[in-house]
Amino acid sequence: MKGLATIYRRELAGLFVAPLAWILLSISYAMTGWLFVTILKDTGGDIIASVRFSSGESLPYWAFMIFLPPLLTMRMISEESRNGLLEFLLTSPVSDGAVVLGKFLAAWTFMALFWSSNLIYAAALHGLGAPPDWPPVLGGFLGAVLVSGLFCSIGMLSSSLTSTPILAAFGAFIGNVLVLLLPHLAGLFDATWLHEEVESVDVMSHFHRTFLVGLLDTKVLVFFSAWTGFFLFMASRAVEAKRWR
Amino acid sequence: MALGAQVKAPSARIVRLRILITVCLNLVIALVLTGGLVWLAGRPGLRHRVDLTINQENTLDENARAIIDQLPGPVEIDVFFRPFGPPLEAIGAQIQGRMFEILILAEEYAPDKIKLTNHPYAPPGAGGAELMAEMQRLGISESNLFVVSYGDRRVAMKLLGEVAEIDLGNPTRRQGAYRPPSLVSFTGLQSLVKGLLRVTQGEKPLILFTSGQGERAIFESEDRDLGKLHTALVADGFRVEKWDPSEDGAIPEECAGLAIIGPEEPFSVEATGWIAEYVRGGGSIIAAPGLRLTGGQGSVTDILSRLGIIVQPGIICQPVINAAGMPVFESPKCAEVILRSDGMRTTHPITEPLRRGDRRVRLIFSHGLERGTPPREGILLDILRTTEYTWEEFPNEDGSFGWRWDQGREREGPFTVAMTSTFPPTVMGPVIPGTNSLQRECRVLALGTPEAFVNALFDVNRDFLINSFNWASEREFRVSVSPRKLDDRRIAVGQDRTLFYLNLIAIWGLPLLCLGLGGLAAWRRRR
Repeated sequence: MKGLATIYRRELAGLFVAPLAWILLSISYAMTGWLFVTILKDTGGDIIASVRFSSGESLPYWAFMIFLPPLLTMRMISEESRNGLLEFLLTSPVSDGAVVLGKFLAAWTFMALFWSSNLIYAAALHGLGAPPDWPPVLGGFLGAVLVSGLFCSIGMLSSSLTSTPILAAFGAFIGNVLVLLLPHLAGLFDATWLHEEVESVDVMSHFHRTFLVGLLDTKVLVFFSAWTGFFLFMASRAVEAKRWR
Repeated sequence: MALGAQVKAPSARIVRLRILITVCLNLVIALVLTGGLVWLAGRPGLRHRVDLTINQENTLDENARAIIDQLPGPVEIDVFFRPFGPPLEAIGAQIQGRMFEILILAEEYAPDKIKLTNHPYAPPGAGGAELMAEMQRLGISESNLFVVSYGDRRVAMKLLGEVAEIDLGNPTRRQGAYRPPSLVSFTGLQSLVKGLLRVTQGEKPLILFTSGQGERAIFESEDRDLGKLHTALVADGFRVEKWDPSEDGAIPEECAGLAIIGPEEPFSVEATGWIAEYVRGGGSIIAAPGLRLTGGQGSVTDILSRLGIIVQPGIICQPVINAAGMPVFESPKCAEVILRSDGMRTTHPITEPLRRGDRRVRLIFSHGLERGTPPREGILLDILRTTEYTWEEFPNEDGSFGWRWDQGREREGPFTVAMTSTFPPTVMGPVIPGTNSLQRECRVLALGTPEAFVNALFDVNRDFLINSFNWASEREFRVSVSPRKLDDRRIAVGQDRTLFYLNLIAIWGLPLLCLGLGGLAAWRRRR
């Protein structure tokens, strides 16, 4: 895809040259670090419980997961659309897909950097003479990155549908919450087929049954990749639609 | 008329409709492609799972997988777990979590064979009535169990008692210091396997325990009786009965295994003939000589020697290790031998799962076993061997034991204390109901002591004994072992400066580094 690397570099620079991203990272790291150490103390030094807690078995983890991607992606397309910068971009010799994908990759890289804190905690434990079971730790990191990718792609779609960043963030947040709460919402209806269908797209159970317990399942890898691709495709279609207006 | 005037431009409405159709088509095609891709990825041939944990915690035991593969059709498992009341909340949640993980593993291993349905608590008015109706349909009135169903056959496996045993501890401090409830044993995988087999297997193989020659009582609960073994065998799907040759006559054809546990007197000539005839037809025997090693025709030593296994007269002993780690002799406790995994045969169906599970076998007053001449085409295998730090104790001239190695007249280990002998039958026997094989094989397992089977040692030797009876009755596919203990990794947070360093890195180091980089970015932007 022509221009993909350029757009990716530009977006990444836009994120990390501004102090906001660093402040966001700093606050998030402080919170996850405090939670990690607290759980480690409360469980009498149980490494597996602490790593699991910070890798997906806790409410704060999912709170970060649904809040951060919308904040990162809200301005990526919507603000450029509002400022008229998107028109310049779309008239340049790059495809819509490259525009969406480049911006998505930048947001995804930020999220990967954010979740790498778990690897740093595990490395710290290793350095202190209590090595964790590394493969599940790496699996948990991979899972976190894949789930973040899904939520970033939802954020990209939301950002491409509106010219107001706050609205984009709100839409993405609602989308993320809906994706997570889908099984609970389906539980309100007394239809077995609905429960079974929703179970097959349940993000949390896919994550909990595989990455969190140290299992790598190609079905789950494809599940997250395919749905991320779906939302990115829809986002690129939405960007293309802006050409018609 | 000009040609261009005939071509009418589409109206704005039609253009919008076309765009709408295009968008909808795009959406549908993308949805179908995504759903199809995920569906394809879940197909058995295309799906691959890699267990990353060091203890392979997410992988079902090989034998359990074999049993699931052999299930004749889809089995339904309904789960009814509820929070336990005080003081069992934490331990109950742990048991439920571990059991549920095993059930999920089984379902994910063979979704076409196992269908798992969780029935969480629902208050009346919010699905509670439906839940009660479902419980009534399954014939249960309590919770914290799972029901395994295959057609009309159904069995309920309770969490407390069948899946796990707990020690209540002393949570109320009424009897001294506080001690929280703790898990004594967890046999979730065995419970699942038992449930699956109970509902899918119609026939129960018959195990006969000889009686009338001073054997241990199979229905009694005294320490030296075999009541616990009897209960466990019944729970494992066997029919267990006594066989008294003087009353019952010849061994019935349907007998899948004959247990001769510690007879103090020899069998009659007639009974010995029936046993020999049973073995010639492909019968299986589990035998252990009595503590008073009787010889002569019809004794266990005589029966085993004909099958290639020679029972040695001495008692196998090892020094007792005291609290200071020093060996102690001259105590009857020297006659207690503990076999660890390195003393178990690696490739035998009885001991291989025990080795993997790092189980132990405890024997008291065991005789050593040696290889004799097996029947034609027979194979002898040592399956339990002691370490070299054992000796064969012989009584002194006055009949007493010194419990100290006399280098002059007593041999040094290692010794074989359990041996199998297998050979083809000389007469084609009948097909035994509930077993795994059409063409039977004669299988003999000899143990050096009857004490391995008794109630007092049953909990330690349980897996070895159950595996032995399953092997002898040619139901190896049932031989299983508890799942491995979950990985427990801890760091001493109260010691040294561990916590200080963790705080430094996790709470202060990383966030401050990011703040610093943010400041640097701001400073560079201003310049």
